[in-house]
Amino acid sequence: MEIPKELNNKLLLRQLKKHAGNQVPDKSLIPLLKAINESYNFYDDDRKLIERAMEISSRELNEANERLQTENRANKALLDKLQAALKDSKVAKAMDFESLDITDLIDALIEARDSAENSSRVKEQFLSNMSHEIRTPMNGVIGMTNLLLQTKLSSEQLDYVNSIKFSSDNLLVIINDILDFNKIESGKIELESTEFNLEDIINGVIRTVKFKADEKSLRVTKTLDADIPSLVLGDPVRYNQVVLNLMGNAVKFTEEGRIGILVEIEEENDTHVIIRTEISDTGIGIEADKIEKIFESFTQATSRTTREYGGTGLGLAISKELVELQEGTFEVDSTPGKGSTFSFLLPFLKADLTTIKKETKKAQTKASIPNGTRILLVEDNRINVEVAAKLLHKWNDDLTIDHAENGELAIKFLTERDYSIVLMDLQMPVMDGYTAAEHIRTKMDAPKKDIPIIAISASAFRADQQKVFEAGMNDYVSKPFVPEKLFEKIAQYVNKDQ
Amino acid sequence: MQVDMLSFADGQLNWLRSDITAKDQAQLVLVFTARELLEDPLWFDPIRKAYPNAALISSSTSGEIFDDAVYDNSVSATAVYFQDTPITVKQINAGEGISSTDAGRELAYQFDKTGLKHIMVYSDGQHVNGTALIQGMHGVLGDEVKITGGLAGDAARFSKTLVGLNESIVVGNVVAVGFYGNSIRIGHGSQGGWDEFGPIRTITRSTDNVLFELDGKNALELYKEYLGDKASGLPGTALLFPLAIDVEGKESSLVRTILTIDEKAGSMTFAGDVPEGAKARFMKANFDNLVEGAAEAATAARETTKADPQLAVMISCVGRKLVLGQRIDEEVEEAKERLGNNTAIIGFYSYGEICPIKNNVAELHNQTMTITTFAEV
Repeated sequence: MEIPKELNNKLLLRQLKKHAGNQVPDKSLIPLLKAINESYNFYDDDRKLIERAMEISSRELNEANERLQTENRANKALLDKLQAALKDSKVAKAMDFESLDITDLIDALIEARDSAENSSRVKEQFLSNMSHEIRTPMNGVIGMTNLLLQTKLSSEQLDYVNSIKFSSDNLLVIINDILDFNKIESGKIELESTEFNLEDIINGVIRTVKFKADEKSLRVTKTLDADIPSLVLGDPVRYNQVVLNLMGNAVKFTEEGRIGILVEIEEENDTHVIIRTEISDTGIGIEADKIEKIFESFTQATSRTTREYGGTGLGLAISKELVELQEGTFEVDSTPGKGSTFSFLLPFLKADLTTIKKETKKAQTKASIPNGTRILLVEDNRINVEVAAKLLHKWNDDLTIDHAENGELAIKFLTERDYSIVLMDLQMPVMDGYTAAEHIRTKMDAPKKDIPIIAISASAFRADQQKVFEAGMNDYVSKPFVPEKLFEKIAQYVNKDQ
Repeated sequence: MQVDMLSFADGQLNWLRSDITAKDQAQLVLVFTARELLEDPLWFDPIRKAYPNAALISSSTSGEIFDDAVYDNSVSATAVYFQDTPITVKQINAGEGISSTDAGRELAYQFDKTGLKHIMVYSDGQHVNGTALIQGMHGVLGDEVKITGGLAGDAARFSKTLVGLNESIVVGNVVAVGFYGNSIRIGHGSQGGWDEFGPIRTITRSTDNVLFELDGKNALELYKEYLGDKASGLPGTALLFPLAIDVEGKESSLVRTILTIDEKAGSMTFAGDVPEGAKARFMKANFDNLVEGAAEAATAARETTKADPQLAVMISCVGRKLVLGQRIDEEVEEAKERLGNNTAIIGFYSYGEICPIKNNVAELHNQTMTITTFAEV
């Protein structure tokens, strides 16, 4: 009989043709043939699936293989580069580059990095401690000098005291420079973003250098572009620092003629303005081949410069770094014997005009410390206590100032008596300021636990400032303090308290 | 222990084996059948009448195992009378609003733990994450109580599964039987028999049992590429390539098979967890190994029973049925041979098998033949 249509497997049909002459010899065989047909189809189907899977999977494996080879080549290239870069270093000597395992290298590099980070931490800690150690006595010297200047002095005495003041102010600048430089170097510097008036800063700087410029009979000129926005958004402290440094240098290295400052708009759009600040002088100038050098840290144009003019050789390095940190550029143009022009471009965000009113309003309220204010001064250095007490009394005679030598005594005093505010030194024997503040905030009862506490610290490091707030203190004044700043802060908190 | 085996067709119950002398004393009846026959349970009243006092557990399947053969759309049942073994049957609905872990926990809490030896669990196969369910149960029961069982099936459609206790046959149900006392002997065995192939991949994106990416590439796309023109049969055809999953810290690898796909999200939902960071490898079938796997599972079950099994419940994966095709009977025949002729055999093709492998703690498996054997001494 004929082959039924259900039998469709090619192989089976071929076999039937070959062995049975395209005929089914017996009807009873049909169920068997159907089962065979189904099996053949099933196996064919399965074979196709597996073949496809094997093909894709071998392609995938090939791709993986190629990827690994590429990675290997990249690793090899990286190793070669590293090997070249580290040729003479300890790391390289410690390892056998021929039979190098990449994980060993990574471990060694991580170890090297950790050790470098650790030593940088140690250095920062050392500088922080040094800063404290130096600033504390400096605070005494500058404070006492300021007080001395307000007494009656003979002209000879006044001369001497002014010299002390000049030298100590200078010393403070140098210390600040070194600390600043360390911060920039270790990438620890944090930029502020606040509204400020460029002209105010320029005027302040001119006031500061005017005294020395007058001494040398130098003319000081100021040219401000009339279109400069009244308020910009940026870091006023850093801007001031750079301008002051350049103006200071201009005065320092100019014996006759003039120093000038020019501020103008370089570029402007709706939101941003790029300001060019240019400081020029008619001073000694710099040789062309020395210009690069003056930006290196601890380097001045010549060693004679150091001998004749003093300084750390850090000022320009810091200024340039500060400008570049704020995405600005720095330029110098100088002719030996004729003078120098230092200029920098800094981008600022334009400040929102609606906030200007608020600012002016705030400035109008004049602060005061009310009569009868009771201040607890916590400080272990006797001279600093004296300076602070005298200053405070000068602002208002009707103040009570108690003095505690350490945190433990401060807590005792505060328990026994009532105060309006606590001024807290941080590093003291027996119990430090952080611990004392924490104790006050967590262990004492209201209302005493909520007393305003202002930290007075010799540390200029932001990490330490962070610790102040973490300990629950309200604010922070750094030593040696600017009397007006301290006054403002005290006034702010005792008035708020009432 | 006495065991009946019966089927229902054309309005009639037919006993293949009728050992229970007092049918009203049978405590347990298991019914395995197609989902449609659970939605319209013509078999229910006749079976209830035959065994008026038994707990009647039913589960939808992807095929029924009855004695030595595999059926589709049959109603296969077994009834058991335990002479000396107390049993209790509990259920929970793990549908909307309850996590699978919590469902497992709640279910386990219902059992009196004193003298509890073993729990056999039948769970919805679409809405329940089997891994989480078992973890929840073991969390309450500890390692002393062994758990075996399986997830209900729905042919190769993966749309809706049903599990029932007596009249309550609903989506999301989990029903468990607890066996107590010292007379019962329960053994278990579970084997796959699949071969791993191709690159070892890393699971780079997944949430619980939902897989998104392997080696940073979309997993669903990868499956489609491998399946070629069989991709139109997804999710069923994904069973052709189950995943072997190696979780760091776990000795043996688990096999995972797909439940549903979500084209929009580009995701695939598996019957158990596919944790991120685990290694995954495609597996493929080898007919002879699959059949041998089933036989080995039977041997393991028989050996761990420590007595001649009187009843074996076989739960095998729908993926095996898809691959073995018309040879599917072979795995049941081979397994039966290893168990011996006196053992009553019932079971079904499932969306997931539950059985301990290395230690006492049960795990969810896919693509295995999992056998639980019972004897009373």
